[in-house]
Amino acid sequence: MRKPLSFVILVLSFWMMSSLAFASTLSDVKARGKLLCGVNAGLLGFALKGDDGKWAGFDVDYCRAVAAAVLSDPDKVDYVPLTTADRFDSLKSGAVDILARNTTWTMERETKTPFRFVGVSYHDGQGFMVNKASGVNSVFNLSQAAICFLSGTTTQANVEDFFREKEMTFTPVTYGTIDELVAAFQSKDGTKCDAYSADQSQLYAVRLKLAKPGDYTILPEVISKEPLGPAVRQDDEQWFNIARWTLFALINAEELEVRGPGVEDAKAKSRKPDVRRLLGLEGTFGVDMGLDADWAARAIKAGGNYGEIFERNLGKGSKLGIDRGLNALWNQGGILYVPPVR
Amino acid sequence: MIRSFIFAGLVIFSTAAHADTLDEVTGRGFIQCGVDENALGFAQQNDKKEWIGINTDFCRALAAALFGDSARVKFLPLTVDESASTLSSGDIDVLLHTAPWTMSRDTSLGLKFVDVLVFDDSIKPPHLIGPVVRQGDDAWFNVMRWVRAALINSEMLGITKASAEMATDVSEVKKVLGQQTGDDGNSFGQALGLSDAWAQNVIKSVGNYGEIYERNLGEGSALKKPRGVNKLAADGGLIFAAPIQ
Repeated sequence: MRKPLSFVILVLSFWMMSSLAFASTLSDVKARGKLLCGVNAGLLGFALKGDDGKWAGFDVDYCRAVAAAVLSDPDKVDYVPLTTADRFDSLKSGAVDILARNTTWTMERETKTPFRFVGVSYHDGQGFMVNKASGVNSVFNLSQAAICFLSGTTTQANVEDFFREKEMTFTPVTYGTIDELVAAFQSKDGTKCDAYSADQSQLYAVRLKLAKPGDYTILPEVISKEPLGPAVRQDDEQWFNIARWTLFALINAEELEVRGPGVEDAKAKSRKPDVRRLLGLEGTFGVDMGLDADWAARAIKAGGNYGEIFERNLGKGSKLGIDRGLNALWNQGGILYVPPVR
Repeated sequence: MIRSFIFAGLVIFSTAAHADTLDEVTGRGFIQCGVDENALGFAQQNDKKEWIGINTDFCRALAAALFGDSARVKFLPLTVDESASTLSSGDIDVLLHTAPWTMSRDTSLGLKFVDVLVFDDSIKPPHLIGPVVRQGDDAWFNVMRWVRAALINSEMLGITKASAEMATDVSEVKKVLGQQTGDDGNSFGQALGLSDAWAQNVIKSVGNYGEIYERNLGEGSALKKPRGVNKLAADGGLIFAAPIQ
């Protein structure tokens, strides 16, 4: 009696272990020696391949942090440029290990498709750009304005909802391509577009392409929330933990004032328990997710903490000049707050 | 050797036995919620032996989403020490405890935190309190994550306990209330394995996030704690959820 039972359990356990092993993205990445990161094919600030062939951007720096944590080398990343149409198929099929492609976290994407967002890396929102000469400095000055959109997106519906609620009216004008929209927005003959509405991160990027960027301003209000974040496949908790806690480590590092160039110094000198845990001097936090104690120190060294990554790619140190806004730490006027490494 | 294989097999087997919590809970007809034994504002029994608190109300919100009936909850009071093992063993379906979200609780116990329900700022820096589930059960994790999001989005959209059955032409509100499908023609409730009215049932029973906060921690409670960091992000606080879109 005992032998057949133990045999059944043995077979079952092998079968279940093999099905678990199938879902180990960490093993795949380690065996391959490269992280496959799905990114935007070319969006200034988020992911863009330079003339030197090197990728740069906010999403790219997240990929580099993950590669540093997992493979001990931030350069061991293959960037896979993806369109909005093929990004989810690529993640699902395993063509990429992680999707870091300025993608909005929505309910449909987590419940109707087998993806999991690990957190918010960038709080975006739909906004408006206007010519400074118009004197408009708030969305509430836009009643009866002609507002231009790219067709086939949800931007027009968002404005309709917002204006209806505020009992304001507007005239929608849609264009099929960004080039047409930009041309209409800059035209001098009359008022084809009093305002250009899109996600704020896109408005900042488009503004750089205008003939006189300094003539235009982006209004402070956002009328929709567009939380962007990295996504992984469901059914792989270890990989989810690695993706989640790499993002959290970068944000914790900013709060604890650990900077990329200062990691080794902090390791040598810091007496703060929070810093020592983050940098692997106390506890074995990375070990629980299949890494080692030094995982976060490597991730932070790769491109700096969250604030350094933001400023270099999107903020003051970049052409875009985007304010931290909601993306500042919770105690500096923003809403970024993550659980501690402890 | 064989013995250790058998042990490994049993461990993996028992984990797998709880891999479909949504089916189990639906079949059982009520949800089992682990809570603190006595935590003012979070989980406490009143004179009538009724559980009150923001954590117990989240459990009721889950019951409303699952069954259309917020009373279908069994509360299990637990100490911090027994809370994790009770969840691992399957004796509860979800843990709502004041033991805060940390990396070790999130990665080393086979459990994971869903998101933040309350920033407990009676301590500095604030502790993150939120629902915890077993790892490896994405369908159940989805229910937790999106019931929380429904509470928060409802406050943002002005959907209250009193107005949860209102007629509206705002598409974001219609999506929450189950009156409009997603782009693929399927309802949001269907995608969770629940009814179309899942979120409407939640708000009808327990109110939106702000109403729950005020009743248990804020103006309507003995604590009278200001919303502070627990205001919505749009109102200057830290409470945020992804959209029901």
